[in-house]
Amino acid sequence: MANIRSSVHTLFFPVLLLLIACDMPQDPEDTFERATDGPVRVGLTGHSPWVIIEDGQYSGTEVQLVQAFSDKIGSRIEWHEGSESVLLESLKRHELDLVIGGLKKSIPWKTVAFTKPYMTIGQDKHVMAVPLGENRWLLELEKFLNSPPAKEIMER
Amino acid sequence: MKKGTGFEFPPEQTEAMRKARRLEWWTIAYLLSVIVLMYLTMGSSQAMKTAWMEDMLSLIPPVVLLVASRFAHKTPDARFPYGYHRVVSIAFLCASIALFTMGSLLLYDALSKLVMQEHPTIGGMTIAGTTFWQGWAMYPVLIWGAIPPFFLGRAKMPLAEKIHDKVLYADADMNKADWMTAAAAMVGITGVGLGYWWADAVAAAAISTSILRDGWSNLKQVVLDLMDESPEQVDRSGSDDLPSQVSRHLKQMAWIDDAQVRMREDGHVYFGEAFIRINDDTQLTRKLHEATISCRKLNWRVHDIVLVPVVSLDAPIGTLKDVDRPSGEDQKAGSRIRGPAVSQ
Repeated sequence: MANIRSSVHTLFFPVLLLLIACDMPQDPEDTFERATDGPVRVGLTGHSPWVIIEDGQYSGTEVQLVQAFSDKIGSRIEWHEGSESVLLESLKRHELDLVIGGLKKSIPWKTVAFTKPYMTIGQDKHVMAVPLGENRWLLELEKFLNSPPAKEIMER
Repeated sequence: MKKGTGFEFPPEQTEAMRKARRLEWWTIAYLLSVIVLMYLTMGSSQAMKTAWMEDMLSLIPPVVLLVASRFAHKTPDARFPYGYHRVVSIAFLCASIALFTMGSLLLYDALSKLVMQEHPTIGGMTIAGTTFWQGWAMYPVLIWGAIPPFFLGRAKMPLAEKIHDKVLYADADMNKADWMTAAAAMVGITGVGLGYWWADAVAAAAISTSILRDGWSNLKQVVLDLMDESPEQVDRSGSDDLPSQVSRHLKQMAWIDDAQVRMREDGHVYFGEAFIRINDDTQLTRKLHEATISCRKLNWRVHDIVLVPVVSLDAPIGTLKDVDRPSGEDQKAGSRIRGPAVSQ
């Protein structure tokens, strides 16, 4: 009997912890908190129609999505142009919070994390890149990408 | 060539084996459900991946038991005069090596993630339009992975003792400890949720250590079995009293002065020899026949016993005495020959 009781306790201990920790997950590097205070540091590479860079003006589906996301969390964006590999390196070092540029799920990059595909066109599953392990940040972004305002932008 | 006799369990053991086989089928079906659910929820959590691998490895003992119980009791034939009992041990040897190797690999994986400070990424999961943290989905899966094995293990344990099946015992023992894996994984996931990236790898290391420990203890057990260690209790709590019982039983007979018995385990049953010093050799063949049968009646596990009347129990298998030794033989080499270790 003592055996059963002790195992039940051990099982319910984490569950109890869960109830206490309502705002899981947290970011080890506090990306979400920092980005909410602003600015959100977004790396972008031209890749029409997702990211269009014209005379210093940014447009395209992903640019609009990120803009809307930043508005939603009440922040502003600091844009950083660059090539995909340079941006993803910066992302790994937590010098950026988010990288866009028509990235696909098939991209062979292990030092950063990707959102679940937010849009599939033919064989291409489109994703955005975030730092590894910043789970709150990733979750908030994914929640946004699955929300009606985001779907509206994608359908335009 | 003299073949051993075929083996059938007594009714009580047959029933226990039938139950054990049914439980193992349930275990397999249950484990498959856990494996699929874990795969769907594990994300990039190393703790979940390790727990998932452990569940895959947990499939081995039930499969070994189900396959081996088909073969182990095949009637001995000319090619395998001692029968097929050892099939169980050999299958279990392979399983233990798999467990040991996988445990080592997973431990290495977990430690290297700690050293590389790799932050586990667990993002969102979308079901029916609602996006929530994937970590939440892991808890019910882990609870499903923790509770049924505890009861399966408890149900298997007495059956393992009844049919003297070490594979079933090891399986039951691992099942009973499975909740610890799930608890460790939950602690790891909770740690990640609270922002401690290392919690995942630490939990994974703990789980892989338990796999490694299971692999090691099973490996040790099965190697000892294949070394013909004298029979042990199925729970390894000590040596089995049965050889001494047989020895005492023989010594009670009026025509036997003294007896020494040695036995080895082959799967569920024991094979062995009894060396006896006798004081009356009238009707010896009939007496030996009856004594053999009465020994086997002591316990169903005394499956194959050979009674050997000897001149002296100091040298039961006919160790060469100096006087018997053919001239010219190296005396030093001869003096090293000893009789076998036996139960008095």
